[in-house]
Amino acid sequence: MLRIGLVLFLIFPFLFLLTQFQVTSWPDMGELIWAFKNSFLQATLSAVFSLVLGFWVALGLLALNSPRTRRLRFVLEVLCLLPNFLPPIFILLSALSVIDPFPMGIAGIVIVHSLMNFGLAAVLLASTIETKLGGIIELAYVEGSSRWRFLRQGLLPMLKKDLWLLGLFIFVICFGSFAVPLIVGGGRGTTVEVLIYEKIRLSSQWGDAVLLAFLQSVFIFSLSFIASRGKGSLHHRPANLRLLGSYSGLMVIGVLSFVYLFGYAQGFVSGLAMISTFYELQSALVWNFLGSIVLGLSVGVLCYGGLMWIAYCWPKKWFERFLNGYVAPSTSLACFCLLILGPNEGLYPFLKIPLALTVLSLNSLFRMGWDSELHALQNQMTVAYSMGASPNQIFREVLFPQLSRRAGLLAGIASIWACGDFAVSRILAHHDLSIAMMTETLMSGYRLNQAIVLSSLIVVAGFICFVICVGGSRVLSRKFAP
Amino acid sequence: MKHFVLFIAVVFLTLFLAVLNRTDNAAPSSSLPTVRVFGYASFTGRWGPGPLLKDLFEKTCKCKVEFIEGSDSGILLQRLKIEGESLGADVVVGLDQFDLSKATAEQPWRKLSLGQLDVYDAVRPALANSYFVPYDWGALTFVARRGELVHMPGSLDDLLAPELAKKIALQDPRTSSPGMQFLYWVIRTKGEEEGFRYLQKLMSQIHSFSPTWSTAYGLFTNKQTKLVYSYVTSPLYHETEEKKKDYLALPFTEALPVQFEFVGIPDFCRHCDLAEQFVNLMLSPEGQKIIMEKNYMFPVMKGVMENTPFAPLMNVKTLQQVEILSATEVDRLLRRWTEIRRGELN
Amino acid sequence: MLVSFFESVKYVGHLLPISFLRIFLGYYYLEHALLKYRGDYLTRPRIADQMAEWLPASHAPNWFKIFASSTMIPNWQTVAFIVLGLEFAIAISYIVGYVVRPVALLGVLLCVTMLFISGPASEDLYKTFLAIHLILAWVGAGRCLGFDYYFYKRRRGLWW
Repeated sequence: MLRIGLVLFLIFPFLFLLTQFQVTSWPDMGELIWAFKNSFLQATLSAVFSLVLGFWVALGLLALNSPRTRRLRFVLEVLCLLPNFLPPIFILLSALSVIDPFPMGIAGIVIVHSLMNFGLAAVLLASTIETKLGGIIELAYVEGSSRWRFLRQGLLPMLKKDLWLLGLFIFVICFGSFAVPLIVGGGRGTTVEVLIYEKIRLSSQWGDAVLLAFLQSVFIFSLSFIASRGKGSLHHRPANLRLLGSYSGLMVIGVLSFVYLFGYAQGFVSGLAMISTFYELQSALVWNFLGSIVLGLSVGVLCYGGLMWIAYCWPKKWFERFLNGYVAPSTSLACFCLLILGPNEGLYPFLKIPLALTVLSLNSLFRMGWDSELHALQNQMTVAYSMGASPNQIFREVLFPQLSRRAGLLAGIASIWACGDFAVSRILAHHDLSIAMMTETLMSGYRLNQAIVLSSLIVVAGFICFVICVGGSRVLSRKFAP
Repeated sequence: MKHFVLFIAVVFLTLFLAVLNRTDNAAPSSSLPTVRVFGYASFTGRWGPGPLLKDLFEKTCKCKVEFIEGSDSGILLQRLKIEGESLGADVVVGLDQFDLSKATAEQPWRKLSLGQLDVYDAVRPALANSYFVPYDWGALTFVARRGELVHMPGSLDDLLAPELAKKIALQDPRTSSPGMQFLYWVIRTKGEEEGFRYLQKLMSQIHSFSPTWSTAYGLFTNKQTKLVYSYVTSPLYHETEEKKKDYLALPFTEALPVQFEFVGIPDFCRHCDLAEQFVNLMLSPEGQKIIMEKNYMFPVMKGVMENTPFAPLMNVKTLQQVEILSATEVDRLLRRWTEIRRGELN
Repeated sequence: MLVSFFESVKYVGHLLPISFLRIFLGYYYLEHALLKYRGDYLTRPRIADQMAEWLPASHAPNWFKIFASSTMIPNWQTVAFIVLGLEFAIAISYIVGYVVRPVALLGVLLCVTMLFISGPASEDLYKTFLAIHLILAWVGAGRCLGFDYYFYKRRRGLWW
């Protein structure tokens, strides 16, 4: 029952919109195939390059696994994750000003997407390598294996499935990307996402838009059959990772951060010169900052709840298959669906925005390592089940205490995304509720550099939400430990 | 200490949410009626003309004004269609001429009785529609930085000069209103067939087609491109707010396209008289001055712009007719545009 | 927790009279905060008017006057929100007896500020409140008929 509830929750935008709007005609096949081809090509290449760069950077992060360098590593991880939640236009502007002439077209899309996603891939890979292979790496080091040999014969075969999953995850993100392909994509800028937007905005063909989104989901769903699950291991102890750690990875972080931060820093400095415009807005800034935090935290809490919900419903083959293949509906569809449902005033935006963001991000979080965590606990669940434990008891005493921290981390990432979101909030809110929305308003009225200054507050709000989510989950795991 | 901080945080957060809820919900229940104005973010936002108009209106109307924000005019219409009466909008602000036919097709509107308006000649054709009235307008052209180009383009054909290869920032007509204006401009000036042939040639000159005006303009101000398609009043923003005189709106031999922004009152308005008063305020000298100064657009009414830096900018040749394209026509043009774009890999 | 709430009367009964004073003061603050919340305190610049009127004649130190006129008056909305928030915090804390000590110190701060920006009519009232807040903080009034007792019993320390 709960499982079906979750499935319905995730697909309700599709179902709801399909009941509201009728599919009038089959979309133009030539256009559709063209858009699919573009989306597919750019997403595949972006995923491959993000993974390669991410892997290299992960080796750099692994070089910093001693307690002394933990702080530095944390700072570098933040640097890695930063481009993932800043508005894409900032990353674009930076990349365009550093890489000159910038190769437009597929190469351009892949560069920008790789810049935006390498960090996420790196942080996730580093943590996967540490938790799953720490012991083996240490053993290989002691036994005298060379780095290359271990990489070729140990690490890559053992991580193959995780790499596939991570690749698919980045592929899905890039497949649904909107602004980047449009700006730097040249003729290949038409992606399925653009088509959906075009259908809604210009021709109001809602039925077609829903159909396109549905086709996109089916496509990803079928792709997900290629990537099967990774194996998890939760028994983690600090291990000596000297065999793998490579300082060249840190250099890569330096170079890539320069590419995306240079223009940002430039804009920041010139925006600071006009900071006096913010003086009269101090109270608005305080409100919107609080708004960002409220939104971020509610998304964090909802995602934490959602992840635990998935854990409670685990394991079931079809359920797992569904979650692996499911793709969140396009942003505009999910938003409009919630817009039709119920009133949109007062507190409702504060309910609807987190709900929309949760529907949109829950699945990504699942792919970011939640599934392998659950797989890792499957043995314990089987043992507990055969010993006669009830599902409630298994969840309370086996799953929750072991999963809470990871769920907190993922919820923290979702809350960071939520702090940076303006696309969803712009549709669902009646006025500027968060710093990200304020940033967007500034940009739409010539004030790009001031927007860049303001966006630094998004980073602060995101950081606060992240810390609260991670901290909160730790407290919960301790409180409810049997 | 932790308890204390948490306690204070919870109290303030609750109060914050309560206040948010109150300002939206409590207002209609109070004795004053609330006029709800639905517009795009840069109109209703803190830097736009919205808040000043609100203050001005509230001084005299014995009512409250509340803004509902939508992201852009396309999304505005969609929300209006989907939410309809439940949106509670009394005034809708920010539709342009390409939206009008769709707006009238999808939604009943109230006829506006505004009497004889003393508007500029360039605006007169836009008054033909009795449901919507323009409140500001802007001519669109290319903006450049002074001294950066050897030959400043003065006609559409000049845009094909090798000096400008990959140096022009345009907006995607599928997602942005100025982008659509450019497409329309080329087709109106050169005729449809010739226009699309021209666009085909122009593709190699374009740096990028951005999804929004702000992105294209950002690319330009960050010196990624040498030209951007924007408003003739854009350089004035930099002159007034940033004290920079580097930017220049280029005069073209072809008559420039004009973007009108319209205001209308939906048929389901709750405070229709107040809504009409608000529209009147927007067209009053004070209202027009606020809109001009905050939106950086020309006022429609005479007597506001004189002796301001805006006045000399208005002396540009603009397209004389305001054609309101039907939705299918827009769709057809975009389809052809997409075809050309598809052939271009870069 | 609930048990210790009532149990406190038995073990720190000597504080009972002062906890009634605490609850009464909490109720007073709650009433005033609700009045402000329901009225137009947050939407009209009442507090800014009050400051503009009384600040020149106030006994406040010069730095406070400068700070008030340069920062507090222009940002009256934020100030009004903070004042209202603090009043609610004091009200709730005093009524249920939770984190009374630090909140009473906030109360002292609030009273001093109000003393500086209010006219002579309410001067005596704020001075009396100031004394009461100080005393409540001093004795830790939340420990009787309050949740502070629960924490006091387990953790001791300065905060309860």
